[in-house]
Amino acid sequence: MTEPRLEWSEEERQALGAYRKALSPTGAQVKAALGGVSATLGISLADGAAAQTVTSQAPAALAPSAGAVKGTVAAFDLASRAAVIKATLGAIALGGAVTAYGVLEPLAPKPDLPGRPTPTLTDPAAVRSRDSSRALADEPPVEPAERAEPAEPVALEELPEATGQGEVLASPRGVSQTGPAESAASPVSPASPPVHEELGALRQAQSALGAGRPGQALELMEKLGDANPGGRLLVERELTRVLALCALGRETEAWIAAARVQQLPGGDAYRTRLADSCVGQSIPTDEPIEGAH
Amino acid sequence: MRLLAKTHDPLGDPAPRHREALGSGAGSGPSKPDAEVFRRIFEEHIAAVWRLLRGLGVPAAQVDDVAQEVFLIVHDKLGEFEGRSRLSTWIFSIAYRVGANARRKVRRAPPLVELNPSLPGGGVSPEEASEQADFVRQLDVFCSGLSVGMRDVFVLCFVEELSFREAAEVLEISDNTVASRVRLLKTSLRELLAERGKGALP
Repeated sequence: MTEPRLEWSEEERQALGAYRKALSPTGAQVKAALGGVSATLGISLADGAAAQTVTSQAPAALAPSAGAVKGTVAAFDLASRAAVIKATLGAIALGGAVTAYGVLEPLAPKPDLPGRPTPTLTDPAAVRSRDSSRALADEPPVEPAERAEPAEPVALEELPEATGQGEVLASPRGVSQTGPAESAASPVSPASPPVHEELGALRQAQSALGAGRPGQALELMEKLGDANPGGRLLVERELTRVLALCALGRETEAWIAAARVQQLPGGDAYRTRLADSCVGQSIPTDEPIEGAH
Repeated sequence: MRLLAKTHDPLGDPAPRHREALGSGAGSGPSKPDAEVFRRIFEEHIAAVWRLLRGLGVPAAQVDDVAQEVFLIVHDKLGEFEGRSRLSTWIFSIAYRVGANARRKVRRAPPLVELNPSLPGGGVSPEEASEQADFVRQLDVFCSGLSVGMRDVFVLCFVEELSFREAAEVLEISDNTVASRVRLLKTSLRELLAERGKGALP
């Protein structure tokens, strides 16, 4: 974001910083508040506990919802999802509207290869292993600019070929032949933007990501989201947001966006891609008590 | 420390636009966050929420309870957070509403913010520490003397360094209103700094 903020001289910064510190909680106060929240929710939030949510009252947000799972199983397995993307892009390219076939290359799901463990976001073991290696506040917070590295592209060849569900190719989403299963899974709303608009924005965002400008990529996706909350490429849009947020060092938000990817129909196909991003590699380190925001 | 009741009023939706695109998910109620993710969110934002509540004028004795209430709402509502603004702004929106409610319950004018006795921090000479502590007290008097609206902007823009747009979103006022309040605050603060020979704001 490039919004103007107040700028201070060094003296003023020190003075306001001291006031900031004066308002900040002590470590004991933070622990007490965490304990209170933990007890009220009935979950263990103690450091390193990798606690489990009490599932009877609090199903994990990072697991796909029942509806999303149902929709995913119904129509959008990995192969069919890739087929839809290819078919959509192919159709547009044939129509001359878009010439860049590879716009979604960096978003293409990596096939979940046999023998390669695919961590899920809610896998307690994965969470524990990540957490155990991170003592709170062991590391200074990393400035976003330091993390803004170009997103790792995924070769188009890695897109799995559509097999078995090849009929999806003949009826990609939005091409009027909407069967019951597909309509149940599709997030497309009547107000969805034309797919070429989404593709255009995605292409720009991907270029920005590739050029090390994740802030611009995120802004593009947010503008698209403001103008068009629905769409045919919601999963790809959310995944772009995940990658941009990762590059900006906003990992907690990336986790939340990743959860949304998994909840969307077809999002499960990107599980490996997510696992390769910051949400799969690490959990954000704790910040000093004073240092949030 | 009082443990809050498990069921509580989430004060409505703090930011309805965040869930516009959730589709059917929004109607079926929010899912609850993974405990690990929630803990991280708590750890990342508790200090800022705490400062905001204290800056708003929530009595020190109540800040713990009010902060807990904020995070219980965050826990309840996180499934509705759509990521169309920063998570910190969304949490600030919740904290502001909860804090403003708590502030309204204080019958008399809120006392000066009760500052941490440990101030100022290490790394400074005793003279600097004394000067800094003195200035912190002056800032405290300055903040406490502001009207509610000006105080809110001071805490968000000057202490937490939110952008005008973010502060406007939290306070549900226009960017221009935030900007005009900031101008007035800068003028007042400039006078305060000038009295101390600290120079002027840009």
